[in-house]
Amino acid sequence: MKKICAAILAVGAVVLLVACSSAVTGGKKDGAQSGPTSESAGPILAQHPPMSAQEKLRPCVECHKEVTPEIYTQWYNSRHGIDIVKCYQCHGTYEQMYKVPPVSQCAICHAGETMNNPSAQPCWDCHLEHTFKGH
Amino acid sequence: MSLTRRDFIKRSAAMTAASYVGINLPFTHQNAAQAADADTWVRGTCRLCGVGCRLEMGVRNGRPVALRGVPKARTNYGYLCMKGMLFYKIMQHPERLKVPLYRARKDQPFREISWDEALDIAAKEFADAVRKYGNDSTAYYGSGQCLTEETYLFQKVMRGGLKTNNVEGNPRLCMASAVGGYLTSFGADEPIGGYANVERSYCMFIIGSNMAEAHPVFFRRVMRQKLDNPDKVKIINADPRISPTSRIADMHMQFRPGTDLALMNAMAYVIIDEELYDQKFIDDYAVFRVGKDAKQVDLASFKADLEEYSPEKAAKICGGNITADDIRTAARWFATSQGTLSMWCMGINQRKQGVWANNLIHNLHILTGQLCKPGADSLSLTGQPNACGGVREGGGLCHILPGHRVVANEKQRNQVEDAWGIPHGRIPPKPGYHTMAMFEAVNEKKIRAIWINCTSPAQSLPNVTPYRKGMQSDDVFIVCSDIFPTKTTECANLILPTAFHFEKTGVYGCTERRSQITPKAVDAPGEAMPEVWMVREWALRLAKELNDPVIKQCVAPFMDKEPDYELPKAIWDEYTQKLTKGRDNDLRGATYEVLESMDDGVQWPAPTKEFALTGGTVMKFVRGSDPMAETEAKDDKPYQFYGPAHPDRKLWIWSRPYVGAGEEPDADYPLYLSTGRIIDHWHTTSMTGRIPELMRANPYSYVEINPKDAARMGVRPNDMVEIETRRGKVEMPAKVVEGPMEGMLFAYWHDMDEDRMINKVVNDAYDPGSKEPEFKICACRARRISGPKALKPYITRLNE
Amino acid sequence: MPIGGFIINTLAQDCDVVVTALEQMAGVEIHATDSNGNIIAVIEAQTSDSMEESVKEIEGLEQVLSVGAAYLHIEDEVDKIERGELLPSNPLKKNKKNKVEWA
Repeated sequence: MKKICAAILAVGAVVLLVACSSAVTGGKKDGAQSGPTSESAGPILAQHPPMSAQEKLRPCVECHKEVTPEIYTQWYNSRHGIDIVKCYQCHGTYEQMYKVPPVSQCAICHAGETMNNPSAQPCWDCHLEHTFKGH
Repeated sequence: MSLTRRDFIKRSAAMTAASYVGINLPFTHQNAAQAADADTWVRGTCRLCGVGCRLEMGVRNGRPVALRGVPKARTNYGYLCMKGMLFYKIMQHPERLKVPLYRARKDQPFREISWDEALDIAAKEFADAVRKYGNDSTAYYGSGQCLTEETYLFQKVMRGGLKTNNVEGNPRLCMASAVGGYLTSFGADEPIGGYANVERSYCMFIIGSNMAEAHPVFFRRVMRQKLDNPDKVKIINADPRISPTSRIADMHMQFRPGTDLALMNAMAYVIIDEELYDQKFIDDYAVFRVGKDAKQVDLASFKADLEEYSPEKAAKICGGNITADDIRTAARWFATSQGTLSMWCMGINQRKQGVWANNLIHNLHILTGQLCKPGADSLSLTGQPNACGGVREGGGLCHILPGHRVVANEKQRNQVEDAWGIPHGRIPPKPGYHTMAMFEAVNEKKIRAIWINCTSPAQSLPNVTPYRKGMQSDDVFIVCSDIFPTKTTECANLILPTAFHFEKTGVYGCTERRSQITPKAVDAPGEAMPEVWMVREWALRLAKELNDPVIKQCVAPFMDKEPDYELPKAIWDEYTQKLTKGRDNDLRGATYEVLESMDDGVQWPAPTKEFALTGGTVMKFVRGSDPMAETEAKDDKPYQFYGPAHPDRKLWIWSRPYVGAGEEPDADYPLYLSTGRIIDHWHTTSMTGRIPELMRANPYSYVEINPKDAARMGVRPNDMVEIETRRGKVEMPAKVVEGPMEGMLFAYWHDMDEDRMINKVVNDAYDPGSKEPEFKICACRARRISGPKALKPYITRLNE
Repeated sequence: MPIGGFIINTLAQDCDVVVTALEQMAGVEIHATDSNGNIIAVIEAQTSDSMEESVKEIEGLEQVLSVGAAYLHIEDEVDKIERGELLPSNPLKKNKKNKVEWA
């Protein structure tokens, strides 16, 4: 096992370096599909199950603590959770709710970081959404 | 569902492999760094709390479309809370007041009238009141959310023009005790340091504050300091309730409401007993005082007064989870840290002994020398965005004058009269009615005409029912200027539509003595106008009605100035250049030009433009940081406490006894009732209640009940609970949560609905010194009424 | 629980046969192929040993020319977190008297 591991890691290390650089530059080859760039199509709207007017009068966490418990816990223990950045601040409310918000939502508070992002990827690719670690 | 962590890792693996051979995988998470589409971005200050976040409003085709933070601002560093992110949504709301509305009697519906008519009516009614009942039958009740220019001009016309000191504002209900505490402990109002101390602090003492919800963006800095230095930084949270703020605490001290005075005296006891005090600092800079006549005593006497507050005795008084060991640990952390920062808000201020509670916090800092050095400060958190700048500094309370002067001092009255170019003697020598007395005077028909600006006392006063009844009487003429219908416009005769934030230009001064400007970015809807224009036009008509040219003199420097920019600028220039010159809040360097060029603003004192452009005074009283510490220096010590209220130029350590709340639980009303805010809503919800995201997050007020009490009462989550005090009853849905301690209920106060308006039942006893009411503690009883009910959120509409 | 990203190389004409065979294998996901006979696969396994076995099995397929590892991630706790067996750690040390539960 150790030999394969070492081999994988050695190859992997070299490959990773190469791979990372081409991922960042987002090279296009003939016949390949278009990749992750900042010009790709917009954010994804949510398909929230329909709620009555009365049901909408509930904070997101009331249901989502049960429905998406791992996301709730990730958020609760993250900087956003401790500083009470609530779901609707990123995801909006029913009239315009995003499953995946546009990066411009992050820019409201994180204008400096968003404008100076060296990669073409959206924030959460590296700063995992809801836990927001990794920088 | 969005990407789980495992999916993410698998995706990374695939993408990495694919990139190696030049295959670009389809990217299913569509993203674009779309800028919110705006034509321009206009920089200003947030409209809501006292943190003073700087933000930019995105404007497209003359309409507000977005808000985003200013990354370089030293208050918020670009961050915003949900209220700061979303308040642009109310600006074009269909319920905005757009035309003046009038009714002669309060049982009639409102009808639309022109501005000319409206201002004529306002002038005539006030003039009639003066003629029939005297100058002191008129009053102005303003707000810590008014621009400084507005508060300053209103109080100028009231004092110099109508010759009454009946000038008050809602900061009387929140910050008056903090003012009293600063004046009696330090000799000068407002904190010595500011926010910059957070990043240098190693012990933070948060008492009587849920800053995670009430000052979220400032809390972010506290949270960050703790998370970045988890072992070095100690956070003590003292609160009868476990709140979201308690999450970051190393120690949570849960004491019976009202016993915080005993707790802090016990900490002082430990500091003295274990000789953790800074003898040199005390010798150089402090004296001990006791009693009404501020008799000077010595350390031995002070120590003797603390004998009944040994940790063991105090733990008994405090109950809750307080142990003698915890008190000792807290005191040791406080005294020995490299820099200790205290922060507090309404839990300390809204108390019958609010000034004393403030004094005891300051005591701890003075005893241990935790002042004037980086990371050490006694920082009162201000609730409203301009309670400091407009009301405390601009002369917006019945006993003070602009520039931190007091009505009672004849020399200072004359200084103000000279600056205004009016005869000596115009400003009456005695203070006017403080807020609770003012509304009592309305009830007693002593006040016959009152102008209420940008606040809603018909919901925000404690024990509000009798005061609201008084306001509904036809014996008092009420002018209400605001942006939306509120519970208070329901009591008005005349409603004047005002321009909102970013629809007019003006300055706000936040918690940390920093004045920051917000320019006009969009037009106000309909015929709404800036308040400064209303005051000027009203004053001109008053002068005619009363045949009193001095009233005209009060607005003479502001004639022919257009209301959006030139008029407030002229007012600000007069206030800063003439009224703050040489005072401890010297703002002469903070001209509009200077303020407009900065990402944030200027901390006073800032006597020159060059100094103002650096940001101003970071640490008051400290030579090298505060230019007035140089000019006012009397010796060569590094700290100079030149505050105007202490002629001996010393910090005063006050011996104060523990006294409980005004109304403690008893056999009939066995539970404590406390109230407070939540993060999504601002005050009476007249603004935030009209933003769907915020309303849905907290559509009504809840009452938090401890699980043990809930079990005893048979209450389950969302059950309807009736809360009754000697003053009335309300019904609220319950949250069963390990929040308030056993024997205590905690209700949110933002709801406008009659059934859920908690201020109907809270106590209006007030601090004898500061006159600030004790919203935070009273006695109640509670019972379960029913299971969950489908409730409707409620916002006032016009002509209901 | 190791997760690895691999490039499996075949001759262009053998690609489909190999993909079919790979799809039968447990823990193997095909993400892309191209006209050069490259197959991008992600292999997930319970232990490093079983991942090594999967790799050996794939190498053993007749049409497979090579299997190259591009990315390897070993984190035992990810699936435990997702099953709710393990909560992501709270970064704050808490007094056990403090249980803050708020909606």
